[in-house]
Amino acid sequence: MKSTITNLYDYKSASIPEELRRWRIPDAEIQARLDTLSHNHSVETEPDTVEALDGVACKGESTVPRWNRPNLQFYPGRKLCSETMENALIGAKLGETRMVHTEEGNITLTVTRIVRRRHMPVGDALVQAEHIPGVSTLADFARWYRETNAPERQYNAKMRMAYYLLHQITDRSEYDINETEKKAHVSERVELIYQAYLKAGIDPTIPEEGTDFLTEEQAKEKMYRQFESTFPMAVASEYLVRTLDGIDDVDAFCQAGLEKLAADNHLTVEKLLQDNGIYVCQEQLLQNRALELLADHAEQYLEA
Amino acid sequence: MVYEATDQTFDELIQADYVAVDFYGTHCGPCKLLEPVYNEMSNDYALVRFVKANIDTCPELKERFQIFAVPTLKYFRDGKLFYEGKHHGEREVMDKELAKLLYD
Repeated sequence: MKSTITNLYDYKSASIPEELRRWRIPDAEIQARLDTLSHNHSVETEPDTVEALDGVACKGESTVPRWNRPNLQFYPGRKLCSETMENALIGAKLGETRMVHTEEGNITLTVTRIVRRRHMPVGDALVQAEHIPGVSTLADFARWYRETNAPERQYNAKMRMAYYLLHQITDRSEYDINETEKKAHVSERVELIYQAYLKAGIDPTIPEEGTDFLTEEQAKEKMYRQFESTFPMAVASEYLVRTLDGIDDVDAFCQAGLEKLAADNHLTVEKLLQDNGIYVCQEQLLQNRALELLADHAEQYLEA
Repeated sequence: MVYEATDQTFDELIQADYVAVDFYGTHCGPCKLLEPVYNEMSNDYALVRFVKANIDTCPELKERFQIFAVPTLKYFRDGKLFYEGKHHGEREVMDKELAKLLYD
């Protein structure tokens, strides 16, 4: 790029917000996971006497139509139905008939099935049921869960810090901007987004409430103003790749990246550029690499 | 237990007295928030059949039930659509919807 940074913000002395540094898995998350497992390993039985929280299938007989059905269900204690009806079933035996008096009328309920489902208690037996190699106690599970998830959490925290640093560098560095280059980059992005809007059925010339209709040129100018702030980040990314990675030939770096990106997406490079624009693709490749470099730097700031 | 339906198995799965169906999408955030609540309900209401259907992999169901947004909950009684849920993710509200299915 012809544009460059003339005075790089001293990002190495930047103060990283505490919340971006965090990656450790809290006890509450492990407890929530255990609770989910406890649900997943619930045990179902069909006892002969109704207790609170059981599922109870009944044949209903009543002059009230909605209770005169052969397949009523009740869940005593869950307050899904009137408490009078739910409580009337507690203690009932399979096949037993009970009469319930309600404001709607009398209802005769005959118990046809009782299903009791109870969560498996959170304990060593629960984690053993998961058959995780090397895990036989709750302490093992907590250790395994943390070890398994740590790499992803650390990576995410490093990338959050990298984004933060890239924004700081973009905002606080000094630039020598080549206006022709900037116009080419931003205009390409505007054109792509303009066409994407049209393809999605959104007309960018239709104004926001209370303003006049825009011409196509005005709509694009408006979008240009919205997107021109993306250019300094592109310049900063290119600068970081050049200086931190020691890459002199950035064009060759981008070309190799484009070829890989095209291959990964089963496209030709020409088709990739036609759909996404050469500057947008290059900016993305450079930004991704700059973020990787900053993430490496940010590793030292990870929560201890 | 929650049954995962496909275009092929859906009609068989809804053949029960009372059935709840969660139409969800693979990359839908609100669907992921609903999932633990739905799983919990499937444990608490042992006689109701709880089904979920991924509209990304079940195009016929998406078309048939005109699913334009996910998650969408639909309730079936005796194999027929009884009504469509209005709220998602709040246990208290979903309990009321289930009560409507069971007792209305």
